[in-house]
Amino acid sequence: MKNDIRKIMIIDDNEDIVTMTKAMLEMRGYEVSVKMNIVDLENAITQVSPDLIIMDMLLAGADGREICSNLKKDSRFTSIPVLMISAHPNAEDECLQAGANTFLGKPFEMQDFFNAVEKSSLVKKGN
Amino acid sequence: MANLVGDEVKNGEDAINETELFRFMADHAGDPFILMREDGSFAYLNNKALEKWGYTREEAQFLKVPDVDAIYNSEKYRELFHLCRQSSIPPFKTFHKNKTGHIYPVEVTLSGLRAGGESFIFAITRDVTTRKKNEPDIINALRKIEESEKRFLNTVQQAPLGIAIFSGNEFIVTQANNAYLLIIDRSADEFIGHPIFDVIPEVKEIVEPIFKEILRTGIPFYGNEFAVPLKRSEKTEKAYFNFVYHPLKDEDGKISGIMVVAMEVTNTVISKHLLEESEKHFRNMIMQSPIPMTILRGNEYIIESANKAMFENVWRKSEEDVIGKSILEVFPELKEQKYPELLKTVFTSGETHSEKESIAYVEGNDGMKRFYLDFEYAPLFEPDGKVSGIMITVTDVTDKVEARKKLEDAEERLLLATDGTGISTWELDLLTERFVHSPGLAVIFGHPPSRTITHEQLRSQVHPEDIHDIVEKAFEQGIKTDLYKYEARVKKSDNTICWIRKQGKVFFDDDGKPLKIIGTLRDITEEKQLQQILQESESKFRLLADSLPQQIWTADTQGNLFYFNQNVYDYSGLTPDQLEKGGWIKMIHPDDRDDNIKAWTESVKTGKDFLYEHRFLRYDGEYRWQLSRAVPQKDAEGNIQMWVGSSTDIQEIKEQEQQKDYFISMASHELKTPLTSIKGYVQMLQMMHEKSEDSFLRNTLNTMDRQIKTLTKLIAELLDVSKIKSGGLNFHKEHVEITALINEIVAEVKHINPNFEFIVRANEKVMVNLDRDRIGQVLINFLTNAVKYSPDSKTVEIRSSVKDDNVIVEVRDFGIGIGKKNQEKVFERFYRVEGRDERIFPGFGIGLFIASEIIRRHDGKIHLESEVGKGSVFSFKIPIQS
Repeated sequence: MKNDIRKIMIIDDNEDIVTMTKAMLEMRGYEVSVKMNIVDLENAITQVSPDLIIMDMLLAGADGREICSNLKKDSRFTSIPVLMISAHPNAEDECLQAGANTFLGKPFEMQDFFNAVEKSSLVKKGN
Repeated sequence: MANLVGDEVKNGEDAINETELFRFMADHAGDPFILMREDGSFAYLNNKALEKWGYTREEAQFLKVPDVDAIYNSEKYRELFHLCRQSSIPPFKTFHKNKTGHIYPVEVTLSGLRAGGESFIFAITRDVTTRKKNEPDIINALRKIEESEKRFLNTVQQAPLGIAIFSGNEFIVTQANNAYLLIIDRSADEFIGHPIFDVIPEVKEIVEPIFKEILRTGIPFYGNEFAVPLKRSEKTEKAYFNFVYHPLKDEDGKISGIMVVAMEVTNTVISKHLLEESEKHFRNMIMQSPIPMTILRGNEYIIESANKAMFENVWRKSEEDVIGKSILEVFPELKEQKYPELLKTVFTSGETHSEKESIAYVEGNDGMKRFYLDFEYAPLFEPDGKVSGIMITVTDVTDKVEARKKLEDAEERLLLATDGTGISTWELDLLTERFVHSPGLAVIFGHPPSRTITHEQLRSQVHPEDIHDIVEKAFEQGIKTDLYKYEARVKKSDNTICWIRKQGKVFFDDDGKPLKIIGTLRDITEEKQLQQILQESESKFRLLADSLPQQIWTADTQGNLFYFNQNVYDYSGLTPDQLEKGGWIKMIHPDDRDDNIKAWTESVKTGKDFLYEHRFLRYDGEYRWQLSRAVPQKDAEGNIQMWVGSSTDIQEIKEQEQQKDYFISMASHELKTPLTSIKGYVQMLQMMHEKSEDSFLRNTLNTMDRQIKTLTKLIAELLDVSKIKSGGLNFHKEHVEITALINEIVAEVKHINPNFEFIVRANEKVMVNLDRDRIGQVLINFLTNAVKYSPDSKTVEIRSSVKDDNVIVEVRDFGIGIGKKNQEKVFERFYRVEGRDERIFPGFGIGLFIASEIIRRHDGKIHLESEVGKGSVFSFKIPIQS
């Protein structure tokens, strides 16, 4: 399964979270690229061409759900699975509605995080 | 009449019999002794009289004074008789005539006497022939004799008595007067000169043997109410006679015929028979009468007869013990009562005596009994006007009198009682102004009880201000409505003021004119004072209630609000009328209304305190949060009398709370991100050093991870609380098999608390509609609490059961337990059991608050049973199809 997802793009404005999740994913052998703002996001995604996007629901100056929704509408990105993370556990429904493939509430267990990443790959496979 | 002569002579003899001596002396006296009746017949003649006159004793029975006295015809004799009764008469002379017609002068001494109720003349005569010889009186006397004889014949002929003479063995009628012919209804020609039994054969059978007997023996026969059949006017009927058949002797002394003197008494006899019948009937009636009666005879009051009612109801003695005895002998107890005296008075005066409700003590076979009797003593008269007996009639009115006495007693007691209770009674005659009252009324007005108060006096003591405003108005009203009622001040005789309540009923005549008022009067000073105190206390309470910043209200036992303090009016802008007519319900925010009414109804029904947060509409249209609380006021028996409620404006508190909840929400959210990062690093380090030799490093990382988990849970709970407050707690219900869920949760808790034993008794597999995570959260909370508060015991029991479409899950521990007063609070926010050592029992305690909210949202109930030192049972019950 691990083989299905190689490149993961993390979109989050919180440096600590980014660093921590990047370390976890790299520990597992994923190739991680980070985007800490949404400036020129589409180009960045196009450039990286990730197998999975991990995104916080609340970004500085932007709503993760809106970004997700836009990506999913864009034929270039619609096939890329999105794992959305939030400190608001009740946000799950809204995130899934916005097109996120998987949702994980903060704080999370490391194992749960890995499970969520792998679960997202199954989604991609189904697509 | 003839028979009477005979009888009376006999009776005279009887009377004299009693004194044999006098009789003997009289019989053998040297001068004739003559006792004459008013009718001129002789009641007694001594031997000398008979000898002088030449009659036998039998013959003398038919003699009358004119027969033996040449001077005194019946008219003269009557004058003499009456003269004799009035005064004493000096001796005088007259001429006697013997049987042979010899006339001789006699000197007569006489006197009147009464015996046996009858008047007589007693005379002693002396033949003075020797002295009076040749006296010219003789010529007169002789002349008179002739006249007398003529008169006799005439009298016989005209006499109302039937007189007839029968001669010889054939009994041929030789003479018969008109009366006799009338009696037998035959003419003189038919009768006279014929044998009697040829003319009236119907009497032969009865009369002939008697006639023959007279012829044989010469003894006269007297018939009294003697019945003979007589054919008269072609009809044979029974006729009754009083008569004498008297033998007639010829010169040789041989019986040659019979003289009959007869008087028909048929009518008398018939009427007597009728009378007897009616008497019998009357007697029967008396005997059957329910009114006790008795007849006493003689001055010894011998009980001649008495009826059943007398025997059974009054005397209570048997007939044989009473009849024929003196009443005073049978009932000696009467001697000590007034009755013998009364009997005597009636007996001697001949006047009826009657009395009502007289007390009599009578000893019957069943003992002495007291009676109240209405009785009458009626004298019974003999034909001669003498009282011979007394008829007593009695009506037993004991029951009536005793009932009345009881009533009188009761009335008196009522009077005493009413006076005793301070209620006096009065009656005012509106026509005469006559005022009658019980003694208590005088006391109320400050007078001695013996004082009689007039109506004028009563009015003069009423406070002048009250006379016009109250008393007169009450009177006008009373005349209109027949109910007279007022309360007024009275100046007592000692100048102190008291309050009275006077009330009465007005009575009217047929024309609607008021006649009188009857009523009561009571001193109500104390009542008034209490009322005043009460009013003062009430106004104090109102003042107090009005000055409170809260809204205060009261409700009756049915939950209807009836009092509101000023604040309620000020806040709502509603009028008292609007509020009392259910306006308060409209004050409540529509979203809170239904639940509010439900909660209030529940409190009213169960008597449990009412506590509710809701929004009230202010006069300016703003809804503000209120915390309302109502507690029931109970009487000594614990019955609810009313509810007192208050509503406190908690709008600002609410707002602060919302800010706080928002803050909690924000803070906990903000906490999550750094926590996520720490947690991530710790878990990475754990993974990296999983197999490290450095146990300190491993333990430290494990501890950090555990503490981060705790911190995570606390943050989650804080968020839940803020969500509960904001209504943002969401549920995802699905059908879950409850036993599997229990086992899953137990395994999870057991993993963290491996040294505890969890005994699960849940066999039934029931699918329940619930939020898996939230109910799981409740179970975790119950189980972790059980572990947390069981410092010594290491056992926790979990049990599930199904009852009435509900599933019940219980978690039992054997720990420190929770005291009664805290049991209700454990489900409140931020409560924690006060432990022996609080350091051992950490936690915010908000878990149970969240749990109770979760169960409530499942339409279920959360419950706690606990005993300090023994442990607790936390349970919840939720509907299977919630």
